[in-house]
Amino acid sequence: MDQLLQGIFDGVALGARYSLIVLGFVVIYRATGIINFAQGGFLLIGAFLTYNFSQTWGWNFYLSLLLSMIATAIIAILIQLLLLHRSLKEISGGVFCLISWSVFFYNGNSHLTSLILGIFVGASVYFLVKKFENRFGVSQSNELPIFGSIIVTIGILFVIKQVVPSIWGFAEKNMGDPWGFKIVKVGDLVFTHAKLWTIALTAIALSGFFLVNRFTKIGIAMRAAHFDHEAAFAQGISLKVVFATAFGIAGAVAALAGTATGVGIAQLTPNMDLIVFLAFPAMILGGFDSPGGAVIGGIIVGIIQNLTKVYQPEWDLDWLGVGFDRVMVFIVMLIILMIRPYGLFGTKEVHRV
Amino acid sequence: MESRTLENREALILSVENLEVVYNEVILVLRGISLNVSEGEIVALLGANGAGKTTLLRSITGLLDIHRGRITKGSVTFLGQKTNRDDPSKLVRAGLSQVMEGRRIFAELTVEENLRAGAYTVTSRQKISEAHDRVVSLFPVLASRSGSTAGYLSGGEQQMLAIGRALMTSPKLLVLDEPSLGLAPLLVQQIRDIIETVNKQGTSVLLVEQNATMALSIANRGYVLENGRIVREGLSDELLQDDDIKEFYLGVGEAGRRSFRDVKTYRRRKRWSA
Repeated sequence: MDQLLQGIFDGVALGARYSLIVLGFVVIYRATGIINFAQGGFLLIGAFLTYNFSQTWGWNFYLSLLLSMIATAIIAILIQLLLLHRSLKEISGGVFCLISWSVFFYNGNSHLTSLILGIFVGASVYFLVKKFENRFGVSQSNELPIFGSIIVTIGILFVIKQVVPSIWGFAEKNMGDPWGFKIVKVGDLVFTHAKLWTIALTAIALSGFFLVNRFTKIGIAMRAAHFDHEAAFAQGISLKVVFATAFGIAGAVAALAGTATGVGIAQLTPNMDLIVFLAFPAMILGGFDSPGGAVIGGIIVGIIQNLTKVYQPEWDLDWLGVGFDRVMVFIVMLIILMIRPYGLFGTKEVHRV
Repeated sequence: MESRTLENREALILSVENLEVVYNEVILVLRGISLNVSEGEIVALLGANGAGKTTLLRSITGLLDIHRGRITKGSVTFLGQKTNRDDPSKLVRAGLSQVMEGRRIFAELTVEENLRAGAYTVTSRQKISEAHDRVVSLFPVLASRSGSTAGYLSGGEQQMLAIGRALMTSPKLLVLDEPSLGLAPLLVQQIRDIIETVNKQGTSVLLVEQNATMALSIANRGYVLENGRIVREGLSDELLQDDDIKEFYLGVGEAGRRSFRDVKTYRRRKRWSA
């Protein structure tokens, strides 16, 4: 019994991270229709920023976490403003500007020179594509279709995955351990401070999000835009603001999730974003467009994964292999999808009575 | 109701001049349309399916861009400002509000939240609560169902919610696209009365309708749109007396009601003199 409860508790702590990651996906998907593959990149940026603030610069851990959440939110908003919901010429101009800037910089030019050269290259690509567009009669002011934007997010993920180690290096890092190895014992159950804090911070962030989503003006605007983009637009709701807010929220929760994942000894690596793939079943389980489902799906996945880990040796299932707990999550996901194809909490059509 | 003439140009709220709209850079939908709405007026816009009514509304309310449409000629002027390329949030702030075709309420939100979404551009809390009181007094049914999910309302209630949502910004001009669509005659009456009340409270109305009897019965003036052109315009009384209008929009000709086949062949034979 104790073993089961312990397993569930540890599972919830693990699932809390999944919940945060999935919430980032869901918020962006609801507001913009884009599946943001760069979410793992935001996670990396957030974790490494917290590391930088708290370890390299020696600031208070909670302050560092807060600043990292704000900074990641700003970076996410900038990425959305500059690279998504844009027309082909703007995206290609922006991307080429970034690429040539970094190439010039790594070839030994100064910051300023490479920036100017980058802008020059970006602008030339912009005008080249513009000319090309006109020739084929593609409407000039229209943004890329949703699918195009999704592909762009994959590109952004790759860029972030190159940039982060080039700043902080490839080696594993210690984020330090603000909570140490302190534990709380209840009976035979062991609650580590780190896990309790993860759950608490996640709960605070999630309830904050739900309050905003439910009661504030921008929350209502986001839900309205999710339901009917055009009608919301026609009511004067600024879609730009809604999109930017969604990316800001996603960036902030990603920073929190990244920090929670990277905390501890030698946990912080540039490959940490792979946890996103484990969060995917949670998203599918909860339903793609339900923030509540994101949380519950995340926690269910965390519990399943952890219980599998605990009981696998006990039930002589070692032959299934090391790391089967991660596979188990996908098996459960498949079963649930067979029963409820839209996930546990995906959109149910509202019918008139 | 005081009589107005076509020459009444003082206090022009909306004026559309020689508007030409192209979709996807190829499909010419509006071919030079001119239209005016003065302060305090109800103006009806009639036309068959595909005549370009909704496109005209989109170019007035700034929704053309997202439908890959573009104004290639002419201009739209709202309250003295040229608004050809403005987006809706700017227009809504300036005092133009619209009820889209098919209601388009936010079915997953509650009635209350729908109204608050309508007031997105209003920053002063006092103004929001004033507008809210006014909407509730116009539509008492919305108050009694304020907590329920909008998708569960009946069709008539949804239309009222859509109008109420548009009124939350206390607009100077209200643009309605087919508010009577799919409603029972009694409800059409009710919507008609509400539009009249809203107008009396000082909002000008541009009313797009297929239900010509209803539209002309409250409008001061009317325009008839066909194939992207205005083919008739005049005071509602004149339009109601016009033989061609009777023929096509009211279903009654000089020889009484005709069969649909006659109307069709007649229509093929005759071109509107524009």
